[in-house]
Formats: sequence, structure tokens, C-alpha cells
Amino acid sequence: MIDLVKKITILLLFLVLSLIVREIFTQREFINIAKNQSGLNAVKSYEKVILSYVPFSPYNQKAVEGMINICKTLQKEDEKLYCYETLRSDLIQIRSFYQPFSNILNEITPEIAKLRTNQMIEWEKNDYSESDFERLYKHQLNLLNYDNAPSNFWSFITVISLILWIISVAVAIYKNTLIGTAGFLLFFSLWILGLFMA
Amino acid sequence: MHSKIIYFVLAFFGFIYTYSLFPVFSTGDGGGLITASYLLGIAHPPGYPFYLQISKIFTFLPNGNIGIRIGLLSVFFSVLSLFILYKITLKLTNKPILSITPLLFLGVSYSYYFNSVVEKFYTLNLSIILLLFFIGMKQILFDKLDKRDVLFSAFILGLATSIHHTALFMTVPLILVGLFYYRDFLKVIPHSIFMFLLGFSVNIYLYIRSLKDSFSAAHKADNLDRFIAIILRKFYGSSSSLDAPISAIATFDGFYHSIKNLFTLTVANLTYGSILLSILGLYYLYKLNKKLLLFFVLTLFMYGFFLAKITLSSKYNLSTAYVSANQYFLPFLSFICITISLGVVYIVDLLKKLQLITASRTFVFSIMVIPFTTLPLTFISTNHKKNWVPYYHSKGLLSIMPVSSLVSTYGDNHTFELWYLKLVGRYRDDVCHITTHYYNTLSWRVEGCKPKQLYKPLIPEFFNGELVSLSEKNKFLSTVALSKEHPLSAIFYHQPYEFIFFYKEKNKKDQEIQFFDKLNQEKFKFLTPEVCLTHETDDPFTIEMCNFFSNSYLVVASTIKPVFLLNSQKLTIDADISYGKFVAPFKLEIYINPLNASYIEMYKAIRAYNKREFYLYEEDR
Repeated sequence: MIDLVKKITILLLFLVLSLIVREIFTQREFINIAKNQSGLNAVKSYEKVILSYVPFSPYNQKAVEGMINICKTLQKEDEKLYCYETLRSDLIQIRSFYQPFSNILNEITPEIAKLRTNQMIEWEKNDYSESDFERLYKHQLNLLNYDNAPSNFWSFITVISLILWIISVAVAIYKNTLIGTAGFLLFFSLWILGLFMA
Repeated sequence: MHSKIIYFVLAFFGFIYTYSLFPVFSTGDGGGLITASYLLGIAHPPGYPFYLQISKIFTFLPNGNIGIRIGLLSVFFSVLSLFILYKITLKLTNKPILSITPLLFLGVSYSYYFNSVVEKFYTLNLSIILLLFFIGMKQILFDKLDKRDVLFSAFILGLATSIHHTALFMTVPLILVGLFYYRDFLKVIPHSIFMFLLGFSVNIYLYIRSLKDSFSAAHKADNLDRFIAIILRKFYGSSSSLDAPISAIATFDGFYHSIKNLFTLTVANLTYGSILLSILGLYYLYKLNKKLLLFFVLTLFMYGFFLAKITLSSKYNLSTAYVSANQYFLPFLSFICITISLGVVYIVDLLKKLQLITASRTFVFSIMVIPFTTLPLTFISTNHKKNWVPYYHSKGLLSIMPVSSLVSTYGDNHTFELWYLKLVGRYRDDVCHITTHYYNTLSWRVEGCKPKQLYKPLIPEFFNGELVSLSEKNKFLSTVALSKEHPLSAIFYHQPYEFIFFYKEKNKKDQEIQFFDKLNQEKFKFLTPEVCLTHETDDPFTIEMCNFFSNSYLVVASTIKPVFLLNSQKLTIDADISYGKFVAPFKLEIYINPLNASYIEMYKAIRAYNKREFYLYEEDR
């Protein structure tokens, strides 16, 4: 059993390393492309760098800074919105146990809410006026701040408990009925609890 | 040393599969499965709870994005399946080097490669099937029924109900093994049923997550009826998990097509030579152990002819090739690969018996090299590293939407990709996304517009049922063109907007032409259709998306009109868009002039680039 766990861990590590190699090359490719671009095209290249996130890679910071600079310099509101929305989404897509660049996310969220609200008011057929700004802004901000993902902690507990209760069943069958059954009861209960809590 | 080579082979496949993953998410079900996993929700029936939970662990990896992390799960189980395949062959032959043969053949085959690099459960399913096969085979080789193995198999089968139901086909060959040793088997049956139910209990997930009102792709499982419906995939009508096999065995219709299509897909994946080697392999098994041969043949029958009767009994077309042949037959191909290696062992033994040692070594070397000759072709058509099409297709769609407007979608490609980008990526989450499973109904699923209390203040018209009011405000859009059978066609017509449509009231047709022309030109900058010129793959769904994407060039070209219409050449587009049996018109008038000529050229370039034949459905096959 220990040998199997060892092999599975090595395989997993190897695949993660392979992915890191791939991502580093992708980051380098698109950071270089972005250098010769401007406006929305550069945003699209920086986006690919961020989506290929590798912890501690210097390209992450460069891409985020590059994108923020572009967002600030864009003149048209719809382009600005596209830029900030892209940055926000890219950062959300790379989150794991932690949220990389969470400070940037906090910084740009009110900006996005403002841009969305302006766009709503400016949309020709909407019957909104400047007096609706505060109300609409508040609703957009609520939506932006809403986290639809289940709790990281309970999600992790859930999936780990699932694996452990399955292993416990195998242990109960092949090795030791008592330890296996105890493990099963413990982890199965934890799994059920996690499903409710996550 | 010989026994270590396997690890190099596995590392090689692990690396190239990882390299070939989609940058974010794959076409088809990919986006939907990632969304369900990330949100610990319920995917399309049967909900796939085991797959979703296992893939959820991968979302915690620190590198890449959430989509590609889940893609890594497919690679993981793909490599694991190859390892189990090696173990099976090694057990049968006791020849480490020759036991690598099936891995090489399977690893480079088109279908296996394809399924290793998409966010789907087929490689996980294969690992389960191969594990069950290994356990069954072990009993025969030891000529003794191990009670523990029976219990464990029953548990795994129960677990398999929460992945893909084809794994349950292993029940039949495993029962056969039980019958070989029926005295011991009968004693253990009640206990096995309990273990099966224990494995099945993974499906409790569906009920609990339904109570939590988490994301569900088709419907919830919050009461017994709906729970049973989702497990049995009743949602798919005659293709449900019970009806499909029953109707398949009830009639001989389509028997010829099943056999023919199975043969076609085997040859396309493993070449003609594989058939001959397989026959020799079966003969080798006959010599080795007759019970084993029976077990093997029954397994091949279940995953070959029986499954083909259910899924491949119609005339071979692109849809059958892509959806059924390409995905469901990985177990069959794996077992064929085992017989190939047994065929090779048979020939090698024969040559050695004739003292033709050099010939035998040359033969082994040649057999090992053959798969690598097909690898470049497979690699080119299934390497999705540059395939940004699904990502930018969905991103483009959301980018051109007015803030806090409504978009309706129909069909896997449009729906699943939007779910990913809006619910996982939270891109343009101000847009309210609704979807229907059937073209001609209005029973919307509102997963992309939840929670209601956050969306209602921003788009109250939708929640008050005022679709006409939304349309008047130019905030009702759709990926679906309206045919006359569509319920909304009585009120609305579809106004082309880039590669989607505004729904506008019929009685107000042509009133806002200038507005739409301007909007089409202004928002085109947010689209990235050029990704359709670099994806390099033959994936039919990617090509379908590109065909939609390319329409945006025509639509924009139609809005750029010359000052003097009479002097320019008029191009009339009078095409149809098909949604199954429903056909909607797609009409445009383009006045070709220097300002829009480049758009038309780009349209032509994308269409030409995407005129690719799917590997498993080339016309000369």
C-alpha cells in the first residue's frame, strides 16, 4: 500500500512539474509578444501569461503590472471595462488555497463596479440616469463581491475524507477489519459533514 | 533494468499529454464538468459525483488555471491506466519488455490521446475497468476465488455507478469468473451486494449537494424520484442507462453497422496489422488458459460488440465518430492492445523455437517502433496547446454583451463554456445567462443568473417575465437563431450581432439598423476570431465554434456600406443554421467595398483553415 501511495505521489509530482515546464515556456512566449503590442492585443497576451501562472515566476508580476498599466491608459470606457474584467477573471481563475494578487483584486473591484454602472446608464435604451448611479453601483459591487465557490476548507476536507473512506474500505477488506471499519466510520461521517458544510 | 523501462515510457506519455492539454478548458462537456467540480455541484446526468470530487482536489494545485488543473486529472488517470495495462500484460506474459507493447499502441492511438487531454472522465473510467479486469484475471491465473477480491470488486462496481456506467459492463465477465468457482462465489454474494451498496453510497453526494442548492447542469436530485432519474440518466429518454441496453438487445437492427463501425474505429486507431496480431494473441490465450480466454472474449464482447450495438448501430457519420466511437471505446481498444502484445509474444516464442534469435529481436524492435511512426500525426491533430478557441469564443460572447443584459444559449458548446467563464472565471458576471436543453422549449435553466437577489435589481425585467421590455432595451440576446418552430419566433426575429443575435420584436423590424451597424463595428474589437487560424487541431467542436466565430466577419462586413451602393458588388448570404432537425435562416446582404474586403478575406481564411477532416471520420475510411 505504501509503495502504491509512493508511486502515485511521484506520478502526480512529475505531472505537476511537466505542467510547470509547459507554463513557464508559455509565459515567456507571451510576455515577449506583449512587449511589442499595445492596447487590447497586449491585454490578450498578458492574459495568457497570467492564466499560465507559476508560483514565484517573475512573469506573473510583469503581466499583472503590464495589464494594469494598459487598463489605466485606455480611454474608452468599454475597453477599460474589458481590460479590468479580464484581469479580475484571470486572477480568479488562478486561485488555489490562496488568491494570488488579492490586493490587486480588491483594488480593481470598485473600478469595475463603477465602469459597469456607467455603461448601464449610458446604454441608450436603458431608462437610467445619473441619479441611479449609487443604487446601481451598490448592486454591481454586491455582485462582484459575492463568492459563489464553496468553502476551500470544507471542500478539501470533503474530498480527502472521500479518498480516506474508500481506502478504509480497502483496508477493511484486505488487511484489518477493525481499523478499516473504524476508519470508514470516521471518514464517511466527515465526508457527509463536509458535503453539508462546503 | 528492463523492468524500469516502463517508468520512462509512462513519463514520456505523461509529459506529452500534459504538453497537449487545452490552455484552459476543452470543447464539449469540458467547461461544464470543470464548473460542476469547482462548485462541488452536479454535472449532467448521471452527475459524476466521484469524478467531480476527485477533480476538485486538482483545483487546489498551485500552478496553471483551474481549467488546466482539472485537465491534469485526465492525464493522471491516463498514465495510471497505461500502468495497469502493463501490469495485466506482465502477469500474462512475464516479459517486461514485451509488456510495454500495448502501452505504445494504445498511448499513441488517436482516441486514447484525445481523451487524455480533455477535461473528461473517460481515462478515470478506464482505470476502474482495467483494475476490475486485473482482479478477475488474477482469480483465473491462481485458479482460486479470493473472497476479498470479490468484495473489493463489488465495492469498485458500486463506486463506478458514480463515474460512467460502461464500467458496470465488467459485472458480466466478473460473474463468469464467479461461476468458474461457484461454490465459493455463492457464499460471498450477500456480502458483495452490501459492498456494492457501500460503493454506490458515493452518490449520496448528489442528494446532499442538491439540498445545498449548488450548481446543477441538468436537474437536481433532491428527492427519491429525481435521484433515481439522475442516476439512470432518464433525462436522455431512450438513451437512458436502462433503456439503451434493453433496446439494443431487443432487436437485430443495426447489427451490421455496429460491427462495421467497430472495425472502422479499431483500424483507424490501431491499423490493420493489429487485427492479425490480435487473432494470434487470442490463440496464445487459448493455449495459455481456456478459462482466461473465455473471460477475455466476454470482456471484449461487452466493450466491443455490445457497446457498439448500443452506440454505433447507425450509419457512421461525424457525430457517431466523434461522440461515441472516439470516447466510449477506450476499454475495447485497451483489450485489443493486450491481444496485440500477446500476438507479438506468440510470434517471438515461435521464432525462438525455430532458433531465429536475430529475427525475433528484429521483430520486437520493429513492433516497438511502429507506434512511433503514427505519433507525429496524432500529436499534430490532438495537441491542443495552442487551442484557445473555446476560451476566446466564450470570452468574446460575454465581452460584447451590454452590461446586465440577458443571454440565452442552447447546446453543449455554448452553454458549458459560458458556465466556466462566468461561474468559475467570474468574467462579466453581470450578464444573466439562461439555457435550454431542447431547442423548441422555453424551460430555462438559470444557473448563470443566480443568486436571484443579486441579479434581480440589475435585470428586473427578466425576473418579472418582461422579455419584450428587455428586447426593447436591446438587452435580450441569444446564441440561437430563431426557426419558425421556436416558441419565441411568434414575437421576435433575430438580428445578427457579431456571432450571436439580438432578439427584437417582429413588428419593429428594420427600425434600428443604424444602431446595430454601429454596435457591430464598435464591439468587434473585443472578439478574437484569429485564434481559429492557429489551433492546429481537427477537433470537430473547435471547428464548429470557429465556423460560428467566422460569421462575425460577415456580419461586420455587412454593416460597412459604401457611399454609392450601385457601384459595389452585392453579396447575398442566404444560409441556414441547423439545430438538430430545426433550421433557422441566416441572411445578410454585403456590399463588397475596399473597407470591408479584409473582413471577407478573414472569413474565407478561417473557413479554409477549418476545413479539416476529423481523423476518425475521413471520407476515404
